[in-house]
Amino acid sequence: MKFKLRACFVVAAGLCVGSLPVCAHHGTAEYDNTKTISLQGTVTALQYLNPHALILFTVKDDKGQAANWTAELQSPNLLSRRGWSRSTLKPEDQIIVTGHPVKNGAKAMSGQKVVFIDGRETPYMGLPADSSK
Amino acid sequence: MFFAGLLLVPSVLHTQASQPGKAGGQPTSQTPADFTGVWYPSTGSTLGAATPDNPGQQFVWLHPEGKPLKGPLPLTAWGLERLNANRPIGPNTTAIDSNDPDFQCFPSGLPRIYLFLYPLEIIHTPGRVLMLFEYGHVIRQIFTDGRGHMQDAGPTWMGDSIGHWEGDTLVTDTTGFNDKTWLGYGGQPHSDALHLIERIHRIDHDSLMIDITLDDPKAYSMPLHTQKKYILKPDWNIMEFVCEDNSLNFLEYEKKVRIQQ
Repeated sequence: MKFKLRACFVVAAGLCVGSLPVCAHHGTAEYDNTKTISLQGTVTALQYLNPHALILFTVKDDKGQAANWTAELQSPNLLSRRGWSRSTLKPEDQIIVTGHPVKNGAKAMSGQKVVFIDGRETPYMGLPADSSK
Repeated sequence: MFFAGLLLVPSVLHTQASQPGKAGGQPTSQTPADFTGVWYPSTGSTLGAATPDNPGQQFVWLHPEGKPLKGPLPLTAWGLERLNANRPIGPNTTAIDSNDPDFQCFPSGLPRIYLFLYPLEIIHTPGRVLMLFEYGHVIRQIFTDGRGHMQDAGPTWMGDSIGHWEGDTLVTDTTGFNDKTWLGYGGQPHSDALHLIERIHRIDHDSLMIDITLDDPKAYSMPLHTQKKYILKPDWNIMEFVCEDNSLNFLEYEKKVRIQQ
């Protein structure tokens, strides 16, 4: 099954340090951090709950078949301090999610960046700017 | 001797500690220094600074004299047995296949709770200094009213803490732990004999340093040292964090993405 992939398989070594969507709680073992994918889809729900927020979204393949994907973000507390809220994403929003795919082939990824297809961006999801001070 | 030097010269390093600021900095009438405020753990410039896979979330343990340890931690036979029984996350072990107590929403304990990238708030009140950890919503009380440790304290997740002031450094002494928490993501164990000494002091108005000495003769053949730096966040508040909040959905997610099928 072929999905609308954008900017596939970009080497992204070290990305975790800069954006840290899912490292803060349980590490990144499940993700292939050497690959970055971008998927266009429709939001089903934003589960804005600790310890990790999840974006549930559907992605259609070239034949119009929809598949359910999940993108794991960091905690709502860290996201909120960057400007996110539970209403940053709403059902039916059209988005492009960029992140690292899981190693086991499931339809899941880490969410490093989320933009709307009309070009609007969501707030940066990384640590506070001075956290390495 | 790097670490030992830090322990010996706090008064030199803390000359700015009593400057007033937006949140804290002005000593109260009860204490020589005031750490009131919300503090965020630094991921850089201290021992245990960021690595690509674990940004600031590991301690670097040192010899008592401050030298880096060569090789593995100096575990006793008991400690090694516990380490081998622990299944930390790793290249092929995701959260659901780990027996990390943290992933079961148990309190992280000391000193591990300092490693999580969430703020803590420090509140001074007569006879006590309180630490409100956002991560897990744990409250730690450090009694500074001159009392000794509780008789037969514990076992508890965060221990029984008493403290006293040495200049503008708060020196805490904590015992009464259980042996259920880890020292870090690597599954490093400790026993219920864990004894923590912390020296908490400002290195400048916006930076708090916690120098940690760990003595656990049941698990380690020598005392160990490390430290953690925090950055003042004057405009922040502690937010709610309930680990169980998303546990069902998150568990399903973890099953979906596990590597060991």
